[in-house]
Amino acid sequence: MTQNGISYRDAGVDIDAGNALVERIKPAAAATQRPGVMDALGGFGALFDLKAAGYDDPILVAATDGVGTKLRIGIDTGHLDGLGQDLVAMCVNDLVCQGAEPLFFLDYFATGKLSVDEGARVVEGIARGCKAAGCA
Amino acid sequence: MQGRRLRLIGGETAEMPGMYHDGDFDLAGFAVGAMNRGAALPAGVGQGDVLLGLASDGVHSNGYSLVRKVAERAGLAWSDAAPFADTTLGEALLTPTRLYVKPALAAIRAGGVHALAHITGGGLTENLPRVLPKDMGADIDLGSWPLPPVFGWLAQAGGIDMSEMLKTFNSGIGMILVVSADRADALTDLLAQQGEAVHRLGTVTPGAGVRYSGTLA
Repeated sequence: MTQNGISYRDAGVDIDAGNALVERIKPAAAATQRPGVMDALGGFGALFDLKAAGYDDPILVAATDGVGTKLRIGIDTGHLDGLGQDLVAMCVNDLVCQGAEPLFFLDYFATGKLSVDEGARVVEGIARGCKAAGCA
Repeated sequence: MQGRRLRLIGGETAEMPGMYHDGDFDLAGFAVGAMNRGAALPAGVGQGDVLLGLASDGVHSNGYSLVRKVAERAGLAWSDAAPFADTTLGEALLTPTRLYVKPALAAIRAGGVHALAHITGGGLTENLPRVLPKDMGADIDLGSWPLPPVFGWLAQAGGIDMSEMLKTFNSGIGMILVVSADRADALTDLLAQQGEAVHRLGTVTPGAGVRYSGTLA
């Protein structure tokens, strides 16, 4: 530590908080395990084996979406737990319209100042949404 | 096939000081799915196909800029009692978007489903034509399903006319299945067994666009 030096944390980015969030959401993400998934959270990319999922001649379908300004109400009231299902539903309901079975999901959570607790509640909601969307 | 479910496979958390107001965040989701070659929908939509509407769980995730405007105009805070439900306005409006994956895939596997339309921004008016052939549209009876109280409140408190409601909100129908007429009864039963409230909205007819009869109530 130099006396006059500044750190990334001083600039407003807390890597430790980011790591704490990743650790906290690992169990929720792992609970969505399914055939075809090849790796664990924390790699640079996520791998998926379509043959292991039962497809020999598959067509892939991709969709992306957000929750729009419903987020404003969630943030203002502190009710964050249902937003994950909103996010998942907006994407996977689109996929089934093409005749596809949803296989995997990725999320992007962007904030000005990371609160591990709020982030975890949102991502745990996403994991619950993924489980609820399952078609076992 | 056993163990079929959706996997949260990865994510990104971005802390970006100076990009968002304090306490704010934004979310994006990305989903990938698959189907066997030859199974893509829409396929085989024709005149006389029946429109089966699945009930929504409230406003879902579209139209909230208008919802917030209506609440502001009505002078209501999120912590106030909802005029249309036994909870606070905030809680009532945060009911999560219904997931239709399981019943939709069950219906598709059972046979007779030609297309599905997820009713998002643009409402029934704009989303249903997305899955119909260009020269076909739909006749829909607005009296064929009950308008959930939240939409009645939005229409009344916001002075929103029916046409605007139908192209902004799901108005009570979150997903529409376009099915072969001879399969409509069996698929209605199957979807009801899956826990869906199913409404027969109308049929596919010649000429682009959605034509409404009756009124939302």
